[in-house]
Amino acid sequence: MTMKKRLAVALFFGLVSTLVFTASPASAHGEKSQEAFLRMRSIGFTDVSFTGGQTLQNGEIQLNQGEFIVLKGVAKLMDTWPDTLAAGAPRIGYINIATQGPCVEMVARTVNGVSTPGRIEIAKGRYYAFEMKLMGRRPGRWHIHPSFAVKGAGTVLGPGQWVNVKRTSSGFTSPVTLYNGKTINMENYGLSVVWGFQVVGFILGMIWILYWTAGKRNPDGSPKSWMGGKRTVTNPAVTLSIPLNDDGVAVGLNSKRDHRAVNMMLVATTIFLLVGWIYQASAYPVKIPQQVVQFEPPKTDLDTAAPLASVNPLVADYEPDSRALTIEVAVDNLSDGPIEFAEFTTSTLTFVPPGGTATAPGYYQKPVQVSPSGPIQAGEKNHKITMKIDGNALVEEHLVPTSESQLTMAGLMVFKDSTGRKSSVEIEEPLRPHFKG
Amino acid sequence: MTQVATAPTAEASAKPKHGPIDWKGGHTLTFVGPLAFIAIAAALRIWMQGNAWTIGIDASDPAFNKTYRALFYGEVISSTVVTLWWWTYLVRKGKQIVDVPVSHEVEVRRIAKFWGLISTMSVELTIMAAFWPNMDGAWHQTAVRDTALTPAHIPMFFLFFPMGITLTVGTYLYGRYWLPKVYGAENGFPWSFFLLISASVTEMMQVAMNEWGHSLWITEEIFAVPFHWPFVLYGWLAAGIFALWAETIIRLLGIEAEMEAAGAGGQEAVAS
Amino acid sequence: MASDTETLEADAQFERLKALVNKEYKYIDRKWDAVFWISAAFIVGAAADITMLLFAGDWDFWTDWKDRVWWPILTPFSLVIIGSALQYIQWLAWRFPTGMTYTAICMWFLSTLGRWLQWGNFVWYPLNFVWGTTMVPAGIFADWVLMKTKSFVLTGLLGSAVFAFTWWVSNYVMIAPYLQPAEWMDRILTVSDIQGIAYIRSQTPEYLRIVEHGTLRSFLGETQYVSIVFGMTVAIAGYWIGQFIGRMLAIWPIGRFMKKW
Repeated sequence: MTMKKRLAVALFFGLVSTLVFTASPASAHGEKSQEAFLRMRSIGFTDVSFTGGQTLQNGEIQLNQGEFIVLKGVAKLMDTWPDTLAAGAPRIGYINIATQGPCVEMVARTVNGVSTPGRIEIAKGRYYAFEMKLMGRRPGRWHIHPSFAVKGAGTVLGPGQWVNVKRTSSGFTSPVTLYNGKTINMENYGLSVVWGFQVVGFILGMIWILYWTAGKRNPDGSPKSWMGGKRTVTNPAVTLSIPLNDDGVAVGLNSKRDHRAVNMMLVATTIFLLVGWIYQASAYPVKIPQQVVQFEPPKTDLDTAAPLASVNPLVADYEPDSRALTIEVAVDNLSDGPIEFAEFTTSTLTFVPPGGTATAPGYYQKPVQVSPSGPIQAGEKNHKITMKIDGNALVEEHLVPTSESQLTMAGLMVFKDSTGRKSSVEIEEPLRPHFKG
Repeated sequence: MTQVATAPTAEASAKPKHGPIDWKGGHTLTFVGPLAFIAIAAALRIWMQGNAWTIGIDASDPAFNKTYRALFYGEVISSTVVTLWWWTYLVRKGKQIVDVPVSHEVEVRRIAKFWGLISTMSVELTIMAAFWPNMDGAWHQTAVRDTALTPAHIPMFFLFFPMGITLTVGTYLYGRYWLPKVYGAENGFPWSFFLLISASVTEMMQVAMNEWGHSLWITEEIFAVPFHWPFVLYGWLAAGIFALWAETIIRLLGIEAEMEAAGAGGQEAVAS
Repeated sequence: MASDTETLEADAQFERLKALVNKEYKYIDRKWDAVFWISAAFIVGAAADITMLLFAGDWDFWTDWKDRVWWPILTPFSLVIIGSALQYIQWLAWRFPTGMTYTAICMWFLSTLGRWLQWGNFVWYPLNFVWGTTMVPAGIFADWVLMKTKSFVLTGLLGSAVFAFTWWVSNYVMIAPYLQPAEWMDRILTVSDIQGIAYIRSQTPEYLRIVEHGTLRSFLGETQYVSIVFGMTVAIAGYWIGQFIGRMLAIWPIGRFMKKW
């Protein structure tokens, strides 16, 4: 096959595959490949909600470029945090979103009510109530998850939500107000300085290179134009016969003209840099170094309020054939009034008993059968609850750790009292899959 | 690459239409080879624009298997097949022609083709070491890494990295059989090619350490991590490519000297 | 004192070399020059780009990493290496003081294409956040030093130090707009910090930034200059790594063969 035909085949393959390989878009963004037992034991996400924009019939959110949505939720850095991540001692974290690049812009973020531009100091067992205001930026359909990154470990994702950003005819700007009151558009601020400086610099470099490599010569060997008219490939016949520290002027490789030319180039480059320096000093007189903002978010009621219950997990059975997960726990009511089991969350999924409600993106809310149902009375101890979960949801989210190195089921059981106050308790129990030969 | 396959037959028969140092003659491969690889890279890049952020973002999705994993298998299979076919051709054909004396004009044409292969390697190594790594950084510092076979890795590590080995070894085989006065087997194995081939082979090997490092050593996405540095060190070995230009320039000057020594015709038809 | 015979021989050699400079050949024309310069541009640019990317890439990708402690040390070191190798090759082979500048323009072209096509077009970061470095003015200075000193030792010492300093000046002009303070999220941050937080990088949490944090010995007003000067000395080390590449990996193999392998 000739080269041309090969080229055609390659291009054909490229084009055909664009047409042939279309499929429904994905909804996970890497979290499904993380080990389930780590996802369940590391960060517990509850009360995750997306508000703002328009909610479409299919549950997706739509907003225009420049419009806002708010992502709220609570992330618990669980006491069951694995020893193998960040040496078992998570210290620095960053609450962010996981999505397909800067398709939305982070406009505001609070953690436990405090504005949080950067990293936070974290500790096991602490709750971090986050609120992130996001602005639509890149037109398209994007899946956005809250995320919690821990230094030395990596990023854990919470449940996500489809967000459709629509293009606005007026265009998109990202306004920021400088110290001097001037409002800039972050999308292109300073770009003319960057491009201008780089392109002029490139042109200077090209002039230098063209001088040495290009141009024609007159019959007497002198250059015809401003370029040097030098040859390249044949020069080793001469250069290898003269000392390394000889610039070849004596044998005609280089000339006084060349020396003058490089001096002129140096002067031109120096002037260029001087002009640039003076420009930046006068146009941007006030500059500070990049800022590092790091602090420990204050404790909230979530951290300080007395828990409503304590839980002793007893059994976590899994039937691989039917994908039925059964978790049995013994609950002690530590409060003064009756409490009810409200939800069980593990990684991205929230399991809600019949008749119950929970705050979580719709796709990630699944049912759980609880027996016995009904309240747990004040002071009651060792009240046994059995949760039956259809494991298909877990399988789809890759949260059944049957091919991983630790067979563990973990998560947060959330209870609520008669006033509606909620409190979560961590559970962790070895998973017993009943493998059949 | 295929131009190499057809040229010797053409040389043996009728005088070629274009001269040994004409753009459309000996220097044709300088354009065709690089353009072929640029076209493949462009096709892949254009294809990814449409689906990397929908399908490519989730390695657990069945659609990922049908697209990116299928592309991975296709690349591995096709590059293996093309490589074995080309190398076998070069060895078979080469053995037939290596001892056949050729005129200076033919040898110059072959050197021009050799330079075309070097140009192709230069562009291919660029796509491997600059074009895709920029996508790799952009992708991995943005998207959650969830497989060793990410959309950025598949064209880079599993097509262009192997093709680097294909080209460096293939170019050596061309030099060994078609330019015996420069790279003939009786001289030994050229250090220039040893370094260049080593660069492509060690780069391929480094992929394994890269994946191990990302999964099990430093699990956060800094580009300047220590297990990336061998990519740079191995890449420096590709400096051997300059020696290829130098060795063939020396031969070109040698051909000119031989023609001068032979006398008549040496000073005629001077190239402008 | 040279004898008459030796002087005559030296003069004859001199005339032979002069004649060789302009000698016309049958098969060696300027087309070979063009093929060489344009083909080499790719691999030289790629070598410089990958060296910079994997040694100092993070500092070069983002405006919020272009700080005054690490950026001036790591970036010129990574940039000078391939330029130094090319300086050796191009001076040895042709007596052209072009190695650094040639590397600079080749790298700039590839790096800019990469930023525009991959970081901009593919991932949609604004280019004023992900613009790449330029080493062209720095390269011109270093090449000038080589032309004037004709010495690699002096170019290694003076040229690479001048390279690092010039690099910093030329790139500081471009980062300057982004170091202006602005109020955002109830804090005073630089525009580059805001870019880093607003433009989502899902896998690059803010704590990954290796930038100035301050120490009890960060003397007021001196941090920047200590880093620039250290960067200049580190660039000298980088220059000699480049010389090793040029001398041992590009030039030494010419015409050498392994008998046993």
